[in-house]
Amino acid sequence: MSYIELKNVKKEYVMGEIKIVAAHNVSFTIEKGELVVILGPSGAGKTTILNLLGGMDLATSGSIIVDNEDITKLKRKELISYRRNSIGFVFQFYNLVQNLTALENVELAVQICKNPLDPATVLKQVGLEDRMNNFPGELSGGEQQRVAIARAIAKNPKLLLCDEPTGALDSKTGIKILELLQKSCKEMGMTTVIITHNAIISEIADKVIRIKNGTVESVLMNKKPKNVKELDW
Amino acid sequence: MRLLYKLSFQKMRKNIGRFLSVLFIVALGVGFFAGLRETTPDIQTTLDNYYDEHNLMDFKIISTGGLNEDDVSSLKALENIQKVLPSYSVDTLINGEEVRVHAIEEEINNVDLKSGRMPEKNNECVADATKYKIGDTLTITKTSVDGILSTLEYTVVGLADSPLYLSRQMGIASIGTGELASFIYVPRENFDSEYYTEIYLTAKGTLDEVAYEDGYDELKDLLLEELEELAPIRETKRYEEILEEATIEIRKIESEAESEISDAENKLNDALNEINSGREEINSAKNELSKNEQRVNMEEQNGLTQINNARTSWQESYDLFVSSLNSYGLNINALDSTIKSINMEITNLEQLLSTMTEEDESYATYKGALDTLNIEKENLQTLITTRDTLNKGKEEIDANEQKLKEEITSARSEIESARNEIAANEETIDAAYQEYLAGVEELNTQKQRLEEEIADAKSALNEIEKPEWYLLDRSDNNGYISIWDDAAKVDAIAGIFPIFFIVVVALMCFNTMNRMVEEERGEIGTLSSLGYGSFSIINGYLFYIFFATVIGVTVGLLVGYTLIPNVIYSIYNANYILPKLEINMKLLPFFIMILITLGLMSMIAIISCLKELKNVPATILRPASPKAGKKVFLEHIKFIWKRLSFTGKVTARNMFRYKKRIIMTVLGVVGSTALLLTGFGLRDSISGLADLQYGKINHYDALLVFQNSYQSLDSNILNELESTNITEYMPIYQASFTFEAKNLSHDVYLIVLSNPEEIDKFITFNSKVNEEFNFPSDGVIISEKMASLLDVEIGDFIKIRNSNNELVVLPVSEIVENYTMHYVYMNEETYEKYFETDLEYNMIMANLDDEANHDELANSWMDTGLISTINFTEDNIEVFDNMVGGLNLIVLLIIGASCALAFIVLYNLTTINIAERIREISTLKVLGFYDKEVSSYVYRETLFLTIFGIILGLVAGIFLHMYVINVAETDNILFLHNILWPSYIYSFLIIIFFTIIVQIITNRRLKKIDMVESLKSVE
Repeated sequence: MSYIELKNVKKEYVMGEIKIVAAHNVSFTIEKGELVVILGPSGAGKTTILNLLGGMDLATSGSIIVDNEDITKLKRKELISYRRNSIGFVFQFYNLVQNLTALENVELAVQICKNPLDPATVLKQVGLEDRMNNFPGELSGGEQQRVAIARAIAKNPKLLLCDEPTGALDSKTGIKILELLQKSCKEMGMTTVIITHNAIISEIADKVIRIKNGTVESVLMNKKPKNVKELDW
Repeated sequence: MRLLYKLSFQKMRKNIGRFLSVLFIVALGVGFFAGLRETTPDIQTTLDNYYDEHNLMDFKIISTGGLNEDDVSSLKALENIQKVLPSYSVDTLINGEEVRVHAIEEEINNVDLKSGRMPEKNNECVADATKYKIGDTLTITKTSVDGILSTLEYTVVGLADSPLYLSRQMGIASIGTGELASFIYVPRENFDSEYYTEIYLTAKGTLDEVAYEDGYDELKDLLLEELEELAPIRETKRYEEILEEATIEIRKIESEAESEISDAENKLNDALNEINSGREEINSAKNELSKNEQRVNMEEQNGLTQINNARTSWQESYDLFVSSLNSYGLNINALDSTIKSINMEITNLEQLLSTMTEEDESYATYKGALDTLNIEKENLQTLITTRDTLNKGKEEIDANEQKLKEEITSARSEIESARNEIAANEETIDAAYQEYLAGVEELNTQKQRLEEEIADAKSALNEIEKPEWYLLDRSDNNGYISIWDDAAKVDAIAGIFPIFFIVVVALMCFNTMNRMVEEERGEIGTLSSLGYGSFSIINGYLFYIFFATVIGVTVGLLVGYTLIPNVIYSIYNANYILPKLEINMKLLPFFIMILITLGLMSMIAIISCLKELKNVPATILRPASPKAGKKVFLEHIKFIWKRLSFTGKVTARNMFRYKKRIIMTVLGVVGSTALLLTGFGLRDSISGLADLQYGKINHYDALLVFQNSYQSLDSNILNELESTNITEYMPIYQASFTFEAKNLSHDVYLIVLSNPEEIDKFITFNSKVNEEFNFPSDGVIISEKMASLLDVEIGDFIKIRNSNNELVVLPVSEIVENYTMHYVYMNEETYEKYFETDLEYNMIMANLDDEANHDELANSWMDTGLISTINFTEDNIEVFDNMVGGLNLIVLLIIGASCALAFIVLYNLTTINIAERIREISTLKVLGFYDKEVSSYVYRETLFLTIFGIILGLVAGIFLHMYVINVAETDNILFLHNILWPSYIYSFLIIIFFTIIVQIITNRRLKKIDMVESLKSVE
């Protein structure tokens, strides 16, 4: 039994009389501590899978088992609990609360979950010990994304979900962010899923899941994942 | 372009909540503003039309000397006069109530007939619609001027309001308790008076002017100037007339007196003459009497002399005879026996001779003897004859003497009776003389008296006061000025509330537009990049605004124009008898209001749009840089900041992040709370009054007004009353007076207490000046509102006037707590000292058995014939509550408006808050915040701001309440100035309630926020 297992997941949106199938027949597994990249062009259904995995949306059919729990069976409130305790989320546009300092943004997430890590320590780990008391507006994009990652990691989640984490960043900064993610995955054993359209990023993954037209095109194991520094942008 | 309008419509449809909130904010602000602004003009128009329709006088003239036809014609000659109408009125008692009876007039002060018809017969009347029913029979038991009414019983055939009586407090009467209770109008013919009691006037042109406006006052004053010039002339003229009449009267009295006196004198003289002639008669009678006496004496003497003489001559003859007899040997006394014996001898001889014949011898002898005897006999016969003659003579003389004596005696007795008669006459005349003397004396005293009387009359003539004209204008009508005063108060309140509303409305709209433009930044950018000019883009927003504003203003004005004036007007109905309010939907202000609001709103839209449009399209298309976080000042206060929980810190940050919103939230909440508290506070100020006044202060159970007044109450009266359910009583004297303050006349009750030591049983006095209340032995107690109206303190003097306009000045010794009406209290000594008249009690204050049935008691008292009117304190509470009941409507209006304000402000701000932070909220959701936690994260700051606002609002409300109370307080009511604690709680809870309602409504939106929003790029 894998740590995370999707079986024949299907997602339909009903808009009036039209049914749109956003994802169908999606099946794959993720092992604990794995760094997984879900790769696909825009509109392929990546975000749908992300939403389903992150407990932001419910599958129409199929099952998504995370750590022995089928999240497709959860009620609205249980789903929220799942999000708060099991998922760390890194957004493309960081989504920091502008009115809170870096530290406070981390604390905001931490205060509601069961076994959090110390926000200050985590921020130190992401290399922001000097910027802890700065507001997002005073930080660069990369720094903001580090805060966002720290916020996600500090929750000590079962799964770290990253939605195009480098999408809004220049390549240099992007590399640093990826380094951070790889590091946290390897050093902390954090199961990490990165969703991207950038194939290069997939080279650092343990497992690459290609999505096309709403379904899994291929699942490839990377025998020897590259270090981020080796990536060729 | 058409597409842009279509877009606007879509925006309205898509976010109907926002559109409606703009619409209702505009409606609320405009409605409130316009409604309050139009209230006073509406009232003014209504009143002016009422006055014009019923020809309300501009002036009324009354004179202490009465008014006559000359006065009328000299008034008619004035330049600025329109109409002159002499008329009559008199104060009367009907069923123990003070009722003014007016003559029905057609041209001035005509009544507003509500039902029934005008009188057709002399014994029909039109009566106060608030007091009587058609068919009632009204019997006048007393009039203030005797005999002025020829008919005393009237049947009510019509009910009416009178333009002369706007206020339910009709003023003072010169009869009964002194407080006028109602009025009736009877046909003019019923007044039987030599002079007019009043003359009504209207001034030229005033009908075309609006009452209370300067234009009216100017025209009125033109006539007033003339009247003021005319008054002294007519007063003097009338004075002269009265003097002349009085002088003629005195002359008449004088001449009557003179003729009376001369008559009396003549009579006395006649009597004296009679007495004198009587005296003369007596004297002459006396003279005659003495003459007669003399004559009788003389006659007696003469008679006696004659008799004596006769007696003497008889004696001589007798003596001579006797002596001759003697000479013959004859004894005079023997003559008869001699003759007898001779006769016997003769007889014997003749017998012898008869037996013998001549022949007998002896015959011859015998014959011879016989012859001798015959001769002797003859001689003797002669002698006897002589003797008899002599004897006869003597007898004659005796008889004569006797006769004389008798005659004299009778004459003497006659004289005596005459003397007696004279004496009696003399006595009578003496008595008559005494009488005459008494008559003279009486005449003298009468003369003196008449002289004195005339002198008095003459000096009274000098004391006749010059008649005085009272020129009364419409303010004689008790309500005329005060309703305008009250309306002005609405204007004053209207001045503050709308400004506040408009500021909030403008800010809210600005905020909403700003947000809308910000949200549609992308769209604006797109349109801009597609080549739409700024003007076209702004136009789209203006279109949106135009719709919201025009509909909002229309709804607001329609509701505001009709609702608010009517609500306020209905409050006046408690104190005044008024015609139906005329609502004026003025079109011009309507359009001006739309234009102004439209202008303001357009400005807001343009400013909001231009803020975005000043940038090039590319910049607009890019997401707006989010507002940077900032440390708040609280963080510098370490000891507070450290203690705050994390969420507390977050809330604090957020609160200070959007300053504009804080200000608006707080302002809106402060405003609504202050208004609410004012509303509730007003209710507190009013509703407790009746209980306080009639439960705690005037806590006696009833006032019983006597039919008559008494210097002291005799035990009969008291026994009769005590036999009913009266447990305690105190005789008092009560009368109505007026005093003037701030150019207004106010009624005041003057009450003289017979026994101030026991007043606690009936009235509780609480001094407003001293710590403890002591009934002053000298000087008067006045109620606090009166003191504040007059601005007097202890030791100052007050001036009050009675119904005859006579002024009394009284020193103030104490000021007491009191809430309705004005009172002046004093003891008997003080009354008698300052009024210089003896006190007569006309009422008693009484406490009753608890079980007493008021109706039964009233009937049994009335049946005694002692009591004319009864006033139960319990009824006053009801009357008072009715009076102020209307104010509850305004309280409701205020509460309603403030709730609406609170709701709209909170709703608007909360929705904007959510819209602005939608990304943040969806992030929180992704982070796994429960719904509740999301809500509390968003709402905590609103709640905190609301509570902060409420606290500030409660403080502001205290001041606003104070202000409104000062403005709204009428002159005869003192409102309670404190707000009770439940009102604070109600205000607090209501605002919190609305906050929660708003949050429940917006929470649905919050729940619906899609987490996918968080994945989107920043717009």
